[in-house]
Amino acid sequence: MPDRPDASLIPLVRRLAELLDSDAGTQVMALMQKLVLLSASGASRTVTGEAAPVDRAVAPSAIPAADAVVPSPSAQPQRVGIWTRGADHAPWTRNPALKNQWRFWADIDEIPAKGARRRVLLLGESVARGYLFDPWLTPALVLERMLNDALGDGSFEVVDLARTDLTFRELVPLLLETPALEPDAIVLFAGNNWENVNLSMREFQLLATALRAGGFPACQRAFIDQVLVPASRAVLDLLAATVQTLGIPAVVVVPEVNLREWRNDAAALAPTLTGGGNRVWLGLWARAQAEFANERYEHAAALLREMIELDGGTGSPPQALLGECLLHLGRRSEARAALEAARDAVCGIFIRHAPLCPSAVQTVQRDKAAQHGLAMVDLSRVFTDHLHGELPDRRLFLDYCHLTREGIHLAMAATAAQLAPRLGRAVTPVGRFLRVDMPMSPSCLAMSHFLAAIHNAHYGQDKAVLEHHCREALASSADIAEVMRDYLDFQIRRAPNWMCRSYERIKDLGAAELRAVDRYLSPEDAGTVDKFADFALVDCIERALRDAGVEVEPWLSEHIRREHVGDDVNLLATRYRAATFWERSGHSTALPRAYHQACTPVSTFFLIRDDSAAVTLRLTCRVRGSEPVPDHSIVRVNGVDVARVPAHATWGTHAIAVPRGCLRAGVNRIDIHWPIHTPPCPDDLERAASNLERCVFPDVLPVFGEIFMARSAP
Amino acid sequence: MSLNIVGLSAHFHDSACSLLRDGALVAAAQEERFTRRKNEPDIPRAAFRYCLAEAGLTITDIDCLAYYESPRKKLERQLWMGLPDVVPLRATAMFQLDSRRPERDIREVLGYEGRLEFVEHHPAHAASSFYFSGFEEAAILTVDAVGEWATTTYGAGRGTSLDIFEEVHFPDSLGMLYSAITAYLGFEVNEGEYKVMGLAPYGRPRYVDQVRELIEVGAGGQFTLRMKYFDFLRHDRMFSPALVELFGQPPREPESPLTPFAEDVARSMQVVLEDVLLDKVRYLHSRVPVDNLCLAGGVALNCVANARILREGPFRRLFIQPAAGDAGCSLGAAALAHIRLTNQRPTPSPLRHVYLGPRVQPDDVAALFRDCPDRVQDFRGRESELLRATAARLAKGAVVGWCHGRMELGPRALGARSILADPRDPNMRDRINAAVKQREAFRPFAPAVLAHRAREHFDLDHPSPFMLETSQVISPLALPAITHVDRSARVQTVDADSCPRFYGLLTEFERQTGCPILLNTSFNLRGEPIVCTPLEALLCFIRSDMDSLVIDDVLLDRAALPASWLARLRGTAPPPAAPVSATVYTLL
Ligand SMILES: [Fe+2]
Repeated sequence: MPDRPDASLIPLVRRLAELLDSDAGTQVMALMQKLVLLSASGASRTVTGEAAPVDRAVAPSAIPAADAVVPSPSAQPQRVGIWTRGADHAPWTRNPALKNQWRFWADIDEIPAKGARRRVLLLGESVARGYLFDPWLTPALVLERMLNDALGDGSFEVVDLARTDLTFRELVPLLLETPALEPDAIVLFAGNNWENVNLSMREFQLLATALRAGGFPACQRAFIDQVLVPASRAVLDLLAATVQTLGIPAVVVVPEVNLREWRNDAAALAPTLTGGGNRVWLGLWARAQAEFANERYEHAAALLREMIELDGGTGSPPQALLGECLLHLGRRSEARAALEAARDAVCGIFIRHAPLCPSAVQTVQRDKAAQHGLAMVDLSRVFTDHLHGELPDRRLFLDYCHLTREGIHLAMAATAAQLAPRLGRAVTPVGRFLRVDMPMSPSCLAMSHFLAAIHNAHYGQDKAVLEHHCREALASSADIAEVMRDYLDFQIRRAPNWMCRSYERIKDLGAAELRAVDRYLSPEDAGTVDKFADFALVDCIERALRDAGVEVEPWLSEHIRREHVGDDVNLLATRYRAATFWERSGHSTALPRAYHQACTPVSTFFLIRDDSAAVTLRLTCRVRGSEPVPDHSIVRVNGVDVARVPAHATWGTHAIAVPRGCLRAGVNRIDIHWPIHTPPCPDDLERAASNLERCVFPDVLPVFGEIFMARSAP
Repeated sequence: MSLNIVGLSAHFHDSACSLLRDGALVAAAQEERFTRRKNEPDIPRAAFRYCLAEAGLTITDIDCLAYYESPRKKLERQLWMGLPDVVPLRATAMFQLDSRRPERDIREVLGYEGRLEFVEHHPAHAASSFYFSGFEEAAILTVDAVGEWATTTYGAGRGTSLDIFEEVHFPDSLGMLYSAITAYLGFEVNEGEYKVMGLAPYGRPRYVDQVRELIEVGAGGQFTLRMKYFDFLRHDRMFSPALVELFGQPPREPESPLTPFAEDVARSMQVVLEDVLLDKVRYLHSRVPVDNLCLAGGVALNCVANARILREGPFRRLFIQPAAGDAGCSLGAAALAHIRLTNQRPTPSPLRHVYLGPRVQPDDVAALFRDCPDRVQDFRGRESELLRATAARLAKGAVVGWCHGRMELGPRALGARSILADPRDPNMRDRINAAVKQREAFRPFAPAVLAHRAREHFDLDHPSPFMLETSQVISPLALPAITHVDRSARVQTVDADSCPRFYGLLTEFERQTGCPILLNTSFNLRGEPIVCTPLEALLCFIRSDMDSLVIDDVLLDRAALPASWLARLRGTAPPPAAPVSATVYTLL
C-alpha cells in the first residue's frame, strides 16, 4: 500500500465533505461508522470500566455474563476494594495509592486474614454503609453484634465491604474479588444506584430510537426493559455463580425507599412531551394543586390521572400528589402504588435525582433470588409488617433511602435470621436478633440528625423534614447547638470550610464526630465547589436553636451581611442561586451551558443587602419558543412586582430599577416568573434523540427561560 | 457603542477565548484554567463568560464571534487521511467527522445568536502574530502539527493585509515530526515537546542522519515526511515500527530513566528542526525581503529554535506572541473578523503584555482569609514593604508562590501566576523540581530579569518579554538554577510599564542581593493547569513545598499555616480530571 492517500483524490473528498457538511450529513457519517462497528462486533461482553469508544460500541451492557467470568475459588486476587493482601497471613491493609477513595469505604485500616470465625461479607452501597451514622454505627457492626450476641458464641465476623456510591462499575470487580477473603456467606444490599450504568454505543442508539418513536415514556421503558433489567439480572447471576462456586449461602437484601415523605426534586416537573403536551400538563398541575389545597381529593386525583396519561409516567410530582390524595381518601394500597410510581418516574430519563431503587430492580432481585435459591430479605415487606401496613417514613428513613437506627436494626435482624440456619445454626426468630442492643452516644445520634437536616435541605426536601431533624438533633443532645451554630458560621463564609475556625471546632469534638464531619461535610474538592444558597436551612437552624433557648441573632444577620453584601453582585453565582445539588449542577445530565436554564416556572435568586437603598438589576434573558405569542416575564422582589420584561425568543438585556424600600437589610428574594404557557420548541425531542445518537446525554426538561446575565448594581 | 469581537479556539486542544474591543485586546484566557483540566479541548464556556464579564459586556453586546478553523476543510482532510476507508473506524474517529459541531456548540452551549465568522486555522495563527506585532510590514511563518490542510505557511503582512502565498499540506508536518519523536522518547504528545527541547542540550547529535531520513526537504517552502516511519494517518499512534527500526532501540517507556540514547535523539531532532526552519526562514526572506519576521503555531514555542532563527537567519526582528499554539488562534480569529467587519487593522501597537486573564479581586482575598487574619500579613497600601518582605525571603532561599493581578495568556508564567526563587542557589533547581513541581530533574528553569539589566547577564540585545527565545548566560553571577547545561537560558525581560509590581520585586531583590534576576516558573503542580484564583494558588501552595505565598497584597508563610490545613492538604493532588489524550494528536 502506498504510504499516503492519493492526492488526486482530494477533489473527490472535497465534494464528499461538501455533501456531508450538514446536520444530516454528520448523522449519516456517524450512522455508517456505527453500522460497521456494531455489525463487526460480536456479542462479546467485557467487564465494566471506562470503556474506550469502540468497546462501548461492542459491549451490549456493562455487566459480564456469569458464565463468562465464573469466579474460581482458587483465584487469589491481591486486592479487594481498597484493601491489599498482606504477606503470608498478615492482615489486608488499605492501599495508600487509593487514598482518594478511602472515604467511600468502611473506615477501617485492615481486614484480618481469615481465622476461625465464620466470615460474612457485606457488599452494598451507601445504605449498607449506614450513611450519616457511619462510622459509629453501621449495618456491618449491627449484623456482627446480632449474630454474636443472639447466637451466643462470638464466632462470627462481618467484613464491611459496603461502598458509598457503589455502582455496577465497582460491584462487579468486587464480586469477583470476594473469594480472596474466604467468605462463609455473602450479603448483598444494593440496588439504589443501579440505574447509573455505563451505556454502550448500542444502548445509546436503542434509546434514541425509542425516543424518536414514543418520546421519553418510550425511552424510559426501553432503558428499564433493555438496559437496567438485563444488567441487574446479570449482576445477580454473577452473585449466584460466585456463591455456588464457593459453596456458600448468599442473602439478597432488597432495598426500599422512604415512600411516604421523600419527594423527587420538585423542579423536575415532567420531561418534554410530544406534541407540546407540557402546556396542557402544566395547566392541569395548577388546577390539581388548587383542588388538593381545597381538600377536594377526588377532583384533584382525576386531574392528576389526566396528567399521568399525558406524561406516560415520566412525571414524578403528579404521582406523588396522587399518592397524597389517595391517602386522604383512605385508599392505602393504591396510594402505595402511586408513590412507587412517583419514585420510578425519574428512572432512565437522564434527570439527576437521589439514588432510589426502582420497582424494576426490586422485582429482578426477588425473581433472581427465587430462581437461584438465594435467601432474601425484602425490606418493603419487612418495613410494612413492622409499621402494620403503613407506608415507610421518617421513622425508618433519614432521607430518600438511608435508614434510621431503627431501620438498620430491622434490616439487619431480618438478615441475621436468614443467615443463622445457613451458617449451621438453629433457625432463630427475628425477634431474638431485634433484642440485641447497639448503643450509640447521644452526641453521635444528634450529629446524625443534624447531618440529615443538611442532606435533606440540599436535596430540596420539605421544611417540615428539616425542622424534624433539627429538633431531633437538639433533643438527642443539647451540645449539638454549638455544632449548629458553627455550621451557620462556616456555611455562610465565602472561604472553604477547612479554612474556617468554626469547622475546626467541630472536628475537635472527638474522633468519631471528626470522621463523620469529614465524610459528610468536608468537601473533598478542597473548597473549589461553591457553597449553596441554603437560606431555608439557615432559617430552620436559627428557629430550632431559638426554640431550644439558643439565640444566634443578631450575630447571624451581621455575619451574612459581612460576607455577602457587595456593590456588583453576580446573581447567577451558585451562592445566590442554587439551594440544592441539582440547582447547582443542573437537573439534566446534558451538556452544561454558558448560561442559566430555568427548568421551573420561577427562578429564584438571593440578594444580600445592608439597607433598603435602590439597586439596578441587569438582566440578559430569553424565552425560547415564545414567539409569535407576545408575553412577559415578571420580576418580583420580596414578593412585590417590580418589572415586566418582554419575553422574546432571542436575548434581550434589561435594566430593572428596584426602587428604594423594596429591598431590606439581610436576605432578599428575587423571583423571575416566566410565562408558563410557552410551548416547548417543536424540535426539542429530535435534538434529544440526535444527542443520544452521538452518545451525548440529551436535554430532557422543558426550559421556561434562559438567563445569560443577572447582576445587581447600585 | 464599541465594536466587540470574540475569538474562539476549541475542539482540538487548548481551547481559549479572547475579546477585541474596538480592535484592542481586552481579555483572553484558556479554558483549562477554569475547568482545571489541562489542555481542555471543549468549547470554552467559562473563558467566554469571563471575557465578557471582564469588559462589562453581556452576550447581546457581541458584534461578531470568530471561530479559528474551517470545519468543512478540516472534514476534507479527515476524510482524505482515512483513505482507503471512507468510513473511518479508529476509536477516536467516532463522532469526530462532525463539521457541524463548532456551530452547534456555539449556538447551543454558548447561546450565541449573532454573526459568526469562520476563519482558517493558519491564517488565524498568522494573524495572531502579525496584527499584534506592531510591525507595519513583516514576513510571516506559521508552523504547527496541522490545521485544516496546512501544516506550514509562508506569508507577508503589510498594514491591514495579510497574504499567505505558500503552504505545506498534511501529512507533511514539522509539528507531527517533532511530536512523533516526543512520543518515541516516552513523553506526552502536545505537552512533552518542551521536554525534548530541554533534554536536547544533554545529548550529542549522533542521530541526525536518522532524523533526516524521516523528512525530505524540498524546494521553496516545501518538505515531505517519509510516511513509512509514521502511523498517525490511520492509527492512533504517532510512529511506526519502521521508525523504531531506524533508530535501533525500542521506544522509551514513559517515566522510565532517561538514557544517553534519549538525550542524543532529542539533540538530533532539535538540530534537524532548527536546520529545516532556518532553511525555510531564508527562503521566506527571499520571497519577502523585509526586516521583520512574525512566527506562530505550536512549533514557534520552541524557544531554542527561535533564538537560532534570529541569530543566524536573515531577519533582524522577530515577534512571537506567547500563546503561539492553538489558544492564540482565538486572537487571530478575532483580528481577522475585525478586518472583515471594518476593513481596518485591529490595533497598530504591539502587544506589550499578556496579562489578559482573570484578576485577583481584593474582596475575594479578604473573604478568603477573613477567619484567619493572624495567619497572613496584610500589606494593603504598603507595596514597598510587601516587596521588601518578599525579596528578603527570596534572598534567604525561600521558594515563593506569586499570584498577582491578571493571569497570563499562554503556557508561560510571566510574573502573574509564578513560582519565584533565587537563581543563584545551586540547590534550587533540584529542590523545585523534586519538591514543588514534582517534575523531571533535567528540566531547567527560566529567569526573569530587569529589562535594563538583561545585557549584563545574557547575550541578548533586545527585549524578550514573553520568554520565547533562549540566549547564552554571560552573567558575572553564578546562576545555576536557571542556566542550562549548554549555558543557555530562556529569558523573560521585565519592564516597569507592563508589569510594575513584578518589576518592583526584581528591583528590590537586586537592591538586597545585587542580583536583578529571579527564577520564574509556572505556578502549578505537575499535571495541573496554572493556577487562576487566589484559592487555587493557596491550595497549590499548601499541597507543595513552597515557603511563602504572596496573593496581591497578602503574604503567607508556610510556618504560619495551621497544622490542620497541612494535615488535610499537604502532599495531596488536585482532584483528577479526565485527561486529554496524550499519546497521539487527536487529528480527527
Ligand atoms: Fe495550530
